[in-house]
Amino acid sequence: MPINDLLDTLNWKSELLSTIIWCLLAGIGFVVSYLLIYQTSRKREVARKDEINRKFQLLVEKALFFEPEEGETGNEIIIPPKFEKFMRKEVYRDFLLQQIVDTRKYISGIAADHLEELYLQLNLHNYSLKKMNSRKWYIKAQGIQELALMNQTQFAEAIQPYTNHKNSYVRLEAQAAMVRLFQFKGLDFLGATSYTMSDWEQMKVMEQLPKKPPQETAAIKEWLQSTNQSVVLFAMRLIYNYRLYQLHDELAACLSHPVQFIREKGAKFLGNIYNETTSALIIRRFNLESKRYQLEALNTLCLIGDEKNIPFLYQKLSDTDYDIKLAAAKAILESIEDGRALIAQHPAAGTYPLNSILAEFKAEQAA
Amino acid sequence: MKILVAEDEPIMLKTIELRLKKDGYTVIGTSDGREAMEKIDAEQPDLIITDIMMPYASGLEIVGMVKQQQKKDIRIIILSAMGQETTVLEAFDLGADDFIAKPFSPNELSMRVKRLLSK
Repeated sequence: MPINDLLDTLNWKSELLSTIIWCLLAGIGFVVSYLLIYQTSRKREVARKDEINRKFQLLVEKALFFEPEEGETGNEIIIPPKFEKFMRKEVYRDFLLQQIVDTRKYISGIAADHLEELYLQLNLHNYSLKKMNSRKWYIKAQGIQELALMNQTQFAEAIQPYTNHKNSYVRLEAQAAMVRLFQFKGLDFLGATSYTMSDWEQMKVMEQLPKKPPQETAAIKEWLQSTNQSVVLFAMRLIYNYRLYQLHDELAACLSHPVQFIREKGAKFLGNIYNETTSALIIRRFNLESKRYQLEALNTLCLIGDEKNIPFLYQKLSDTDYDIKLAAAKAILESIEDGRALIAQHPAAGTYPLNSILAEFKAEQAA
Repeated sequence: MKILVAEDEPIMLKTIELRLKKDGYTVIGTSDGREAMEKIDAEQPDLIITDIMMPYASGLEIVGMVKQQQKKDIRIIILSAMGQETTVLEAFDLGADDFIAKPFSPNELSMRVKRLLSK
């Protein structure tokens, strides 16, 4: 009968529908429960990490402001036993290491010594060493940086080969590390490096050097003879930055170097360690050299301020290049008391740029 | 005694605060120059320790503001990184009382603070 068929169909459909609804509800319940459990577990994990972070911070603070008990002379910081458990997990070890290293960057003196002691007590030096031996360059570089920051001179032999590594980041970290650990003695890698040191790399290595000049300069003389032009440049920068007057002649020899930019830098750097022969040496090459050399030379003559150079400088006021004219005029003003009067005598004194420099000088004098 | 510390590097700020709190001072910390100036007006500290390079207002501006307002009793220590010699000289010109180079020794900082506050 059709009604019975219809009722049967309806019963079947409603059962299917209710099954689907129950399945959906069960699914939603499962997802909601999973999310709740996951959230709770995450919150616990975050709270645990915060708690561990606080403990790590307390340990670092304890090391920073450590004072031995009365009667004790040692530097050993008492580390709670639970830290051994933390040190077994890489994520916590990394975290604590980062805290110690980041703090060490800003601290010096006894507090720094205590941080280094803590680093050793927790065996983190072995972990940094392991990083240094990693195949991944960024981990390797990080390991080297950590060892240097934490003053681990005992690993210098292990770091040394990386000063000539093919990866520039690893190389720079190793070079900076050696200098940080051993100051000028750490520059020995310059004798063997086969890669070019960029200006940036030279600056980063130079930053690690002490303010006091080096006692020994024999190595600098050798580096000036290097076939690696960047090493020659670095040696010249050392002479310039530390005003090593005793190396004047060696630096002056760079004015005859086969490479142009070395000659240009020579003309500049001599300005910091000049003597009575410097201006003649610079002027001798003037007409053979590039415009950059000429401008550097004129700036140096400005610094030297010697009356002997006046005939040469006066002649340069007639140069066809405005920049050369200007630089020569400035050098004259610095070299003699009445430089303005001398420039005013020049046939081109009424034209640019000489008239401009005379006006500027007059305004400065008035002020 | 109240000390205001203006330093945008969190680890340095924390370390300085800890050291000074250990010495028994009340410490007000801030990590930007503008907030530092507001807190100087509000809290009237006895001594200010300020970094030179900071967001919104530099350490030099802070020194200038304090000395211009003739807050002569407020001592100022400048924190400077290596290579900032001319800026340090400028700070002294403006009226700063002392400077400490970074990286710094917390113990040395403590002694310098003690010395300045005892004057």
